[in-house]
Amino acid sequence: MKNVTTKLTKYLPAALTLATAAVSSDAFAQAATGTTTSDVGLKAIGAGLALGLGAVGTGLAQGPIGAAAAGVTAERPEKFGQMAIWFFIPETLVIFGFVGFFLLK
Amino acid sequence: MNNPYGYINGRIRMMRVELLESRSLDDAQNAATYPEYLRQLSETSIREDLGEATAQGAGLGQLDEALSRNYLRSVQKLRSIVTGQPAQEVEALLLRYDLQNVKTLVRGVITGRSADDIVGGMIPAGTIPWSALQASAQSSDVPSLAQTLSVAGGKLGGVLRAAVSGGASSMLDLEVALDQGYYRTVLSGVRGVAVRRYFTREIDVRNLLIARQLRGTAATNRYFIPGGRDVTESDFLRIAGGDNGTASDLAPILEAGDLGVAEGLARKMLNDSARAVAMSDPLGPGVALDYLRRKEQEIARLRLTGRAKYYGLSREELQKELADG
Repeated sequence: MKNVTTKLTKYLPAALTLATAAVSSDAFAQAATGTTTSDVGLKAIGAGLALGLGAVGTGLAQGPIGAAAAGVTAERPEKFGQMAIWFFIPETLVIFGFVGFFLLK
Repeated sequence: MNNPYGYINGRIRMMRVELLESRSLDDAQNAATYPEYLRQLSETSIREDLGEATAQGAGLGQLDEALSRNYLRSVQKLRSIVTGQPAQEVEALLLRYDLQNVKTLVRGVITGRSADDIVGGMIPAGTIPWSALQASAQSSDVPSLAQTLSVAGGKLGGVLRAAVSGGASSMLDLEVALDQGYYRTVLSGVRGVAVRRYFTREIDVRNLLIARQLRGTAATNRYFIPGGRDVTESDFLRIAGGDNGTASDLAPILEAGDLGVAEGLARKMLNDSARAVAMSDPLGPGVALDYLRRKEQEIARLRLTGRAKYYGLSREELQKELADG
């Protein structure tokens, strides 16, 4: 339970910031297109969540992978390239988040 | 949130890769002569520690020193990469070598072996300083050995002293007292569920081996080591009384023809368990446990092979020694 609270404290502000940014940018877009406020707002929140949660997921995945990769590279520096590939694989989550973000925008 | 074993186990896995492949061990076993065996070794990662073992006129003493040096270096490296809670758990795993060394000392002192012989049979790992072990090998009797070891600061030194003060004098009494103290300390020092499961299995195996040894004598529960999973105190007394029936998969230990075969089977079972723990415990001390066992086996095999080549044993005899060892 303590872990969950710590995680929320850490990552919630970042997710909210992203969501707010998305909402405010869409508020400007709404004036130009004439769509209803609630539709635009919900889409913006969705876009913010898609990007924000993708980034949080990437961070959670890269933590342990990075630690293990650092251990492997410390013993065998020649494995750096291979470890970098494993390390970057979770970046796909945030890329998918970006795709969702732009589709919803 | 971050588990420190992610980094530590990444390093240990790479250290495991550096252990000799079975092909290299086979090549060493197939060497026709001792010099050829040394040449095979010099083509592996052991070469850094071979030192004087390859010099002209060098014998088994130099080879043993070289292998011990390699072993010690691996253990020291392992200790150097762990800190905090993992360090405490790895120290608990290294107590295994303290246990083996203290048992070697007790056996050596009781049977009156020379200090050099005793030191030659010890493993340069564990938490007791090597200098303290060498000093302990000079002891003339078990009480003075217990006194020296307890002053040196090892946990098992205190256990041995308590056993001696409690009146234990026979080899079996002392060994079982050491086992009981060792498993008590290890189970209180290791937190990982998978590794604790491994140790409960090890306790079961040890209890079965002790029960086998007690057959034909008046069995008593003071030789029982608490903390096991499948072998209860009543099972222990029943088996010590001559009953072979046990429902668990440990039955082959009881059914083995003699104690040597039973010990070989027990070792194999524990090796399999250690490997299973390493597979199922990627973010725990299981990987370190498996590495230590593999390294121990590697050095033991190289020692036996070296002896076989030095004394000119045939391949069949060597295979038998390796299977028993």
